[in-house]
Amino acid sequence: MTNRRDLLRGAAALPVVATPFARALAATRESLKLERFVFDVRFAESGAIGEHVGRLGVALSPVADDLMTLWYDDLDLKWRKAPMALAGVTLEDAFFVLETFALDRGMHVVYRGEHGLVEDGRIRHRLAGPAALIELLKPLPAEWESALANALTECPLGAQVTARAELVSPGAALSLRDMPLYSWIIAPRAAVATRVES
Amino acid sequence: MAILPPGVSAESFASAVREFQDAIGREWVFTSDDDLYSYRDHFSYIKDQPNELIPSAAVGPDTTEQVQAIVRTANKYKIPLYAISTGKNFAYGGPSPNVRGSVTVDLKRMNRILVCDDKRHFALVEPGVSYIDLYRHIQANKLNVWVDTPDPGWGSLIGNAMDHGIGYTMGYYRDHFGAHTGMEVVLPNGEVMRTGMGAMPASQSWQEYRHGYGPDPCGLFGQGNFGIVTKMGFRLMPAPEHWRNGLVTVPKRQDLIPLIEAVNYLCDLSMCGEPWYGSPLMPLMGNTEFREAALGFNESAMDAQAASAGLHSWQVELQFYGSERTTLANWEYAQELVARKVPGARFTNGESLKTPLTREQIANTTGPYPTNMRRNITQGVPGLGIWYMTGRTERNPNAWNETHIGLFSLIARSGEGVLKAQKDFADVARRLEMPSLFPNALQTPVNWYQFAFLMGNGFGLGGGDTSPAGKLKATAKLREVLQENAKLGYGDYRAPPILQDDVADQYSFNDFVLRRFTEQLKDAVDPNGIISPGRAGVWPAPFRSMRGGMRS
Repeated sequence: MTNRRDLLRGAAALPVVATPFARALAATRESLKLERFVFDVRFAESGAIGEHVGRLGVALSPVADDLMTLWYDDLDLKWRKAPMALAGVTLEDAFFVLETFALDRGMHVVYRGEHGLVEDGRIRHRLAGPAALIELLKPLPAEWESALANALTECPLGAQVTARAELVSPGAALSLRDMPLYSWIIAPRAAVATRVES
Repeated sequence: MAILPPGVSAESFASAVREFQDAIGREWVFTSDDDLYSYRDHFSYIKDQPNELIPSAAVGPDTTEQVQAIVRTANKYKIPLYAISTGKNFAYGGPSPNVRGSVTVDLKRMNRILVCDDKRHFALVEPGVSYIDLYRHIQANKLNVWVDTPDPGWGSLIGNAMDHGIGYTMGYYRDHFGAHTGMEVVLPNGEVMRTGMGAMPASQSWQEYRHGYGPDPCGLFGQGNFGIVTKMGFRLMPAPEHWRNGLVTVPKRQDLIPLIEAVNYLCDLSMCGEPWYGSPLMPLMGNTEFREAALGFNESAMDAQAASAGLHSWQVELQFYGSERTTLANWEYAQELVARKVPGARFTNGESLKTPLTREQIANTTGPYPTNMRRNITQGVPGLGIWYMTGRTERNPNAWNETHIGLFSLIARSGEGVLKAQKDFADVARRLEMPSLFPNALQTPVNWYQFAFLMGNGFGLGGGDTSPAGKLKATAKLREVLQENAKLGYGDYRAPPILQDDVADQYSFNDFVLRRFTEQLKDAVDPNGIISPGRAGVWPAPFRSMRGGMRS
């Protein structure tokens, strides 16, 4: 269990990043520096988002149905030293596992999105998180994966006004079937103070 | 949302919080909503409802002395405490307390592995040590022992044992409370007690002879509320050199009786590890004729259709630990024994592997026959993959649950017992109009405890109605199931707080004398009732009027 108040005091020392994408949208905004992007290799959508995020310079962690390797070899060891910011696109179970571990180590979920097929083949995106991040996704283009990848790397720092949105994009790929994917950002509480509940 | 412990004024609570802060440090006393979020049950049936079981505060002690100080303060202000180890008891309430407004004593910081002896085969740990932590310690130090891990491995050894959790290797080690070797407990008055040989200050054998001398109170702490366990020992299985598995199938429904007899014999001679039962007939449930026969428990029709499909009725996967030669000898003997008892039994060699298995061998799901075994847990290797059950996933496409409760009933450890329980559970589900998730006629027991069978009560709840009202309706149905099961002699072994009174009600022999006896003890040692009131249906006098409160 991390000393949460120490984390809060240390907020100013956390790294920030301003990517070219961010600068194009908000010249002065500082964003959370993602140290890892976790994506489920079994789905085309999560794979595509991972590829985009990787091109933005974020280290990738591909996962499938058991997070034990990621946890045991990587995150547990790193999180023992310090909390870190990470994002991902996974199934619900992986998201739950990582959120639960994160809560024990001074981190929490600051953005979550549920991406599932609707009846007519389109994809419904239920989003909750910092208002500035959600705004980046409106309107959501047909190539929603790249838009989401960009937005996930643009999470603003500090205490945030939370917004919710339900967007629909056309042209669903079939790999989602009836299993929603979840996009999420987990951040140190000191870096982004506003938690989003499931 | 500010919540107070029941019967405690805001002023008193503020004073208590200050005393907690003085005792353990301000930064380890949590009262904000954000801080307390992680102490809610993610799968609660009453999430966001006025009676949701959430704490008023949480405290994170680092030492036994700090736990003592917390207990003394709680006594002073008559504040109920609820101790958690790592708080991962999901499906059974997670970290949530029995009484809304309790102060959660979060023991995660007490995460020291005090001893791990691979010559005498035991460990002594604090409550914050998870199975993953102990596994990492064993690997890092190249120790020649295994940890018997539950699914998943993020929970605490002590927490899991305290809730009578289980594992998947050899019989003795699978019963995690049964494999304990003594404990250190902070009693409700703040004193520290050690059990077994730990009661002798100069003892050299605390972890080797848990009985000590005289009455052993340890059972009071398992699913109990008689103290806060701050250290506990566990017997560890010596790492075997070799692992082997094999499949046994038998043709007819009634063959389950001699099959289980044979496997019980092998298990109780400690010749094999956990047996995994199943039915090869599951694929036939898509066949209308077979399904009708199965739903009606028409045994002759099921046997006939199984025969015409070329399938056997039952299977058990056996696994053997030891040397290459002993595992082979045990497997050969198992085949000989079953063949003697069951005409037409078939045997398929599984794999024969030198241990420790490599990661690739553990991840390998191919083999001589399709297997249900999750290999990591048979090898004492913790995992996290079981969470596929709680999300709508590739392996679990139709059973998305935002709520999740584990209910397993004790049934007789015999083929007759299984066949009877199948029918009984089907009758209960039919009477209560609860669609069963399992085809009852093919349901098989789990042999997690070496000497007992558990069988799941899997119900689709509320017709998918996940509204608050739908969840309440579903919970009420579950209560009816527990009552009906009890009438038939099936008691549950574990439950989340919202159902613990109902499970406790199942154990009603002689006008609930067991509960009356336990509560008499509770009142004597915890007169203020501060340690986890209501846990497992044991309510101390100051809180006794809350019994059954979750039903309304």
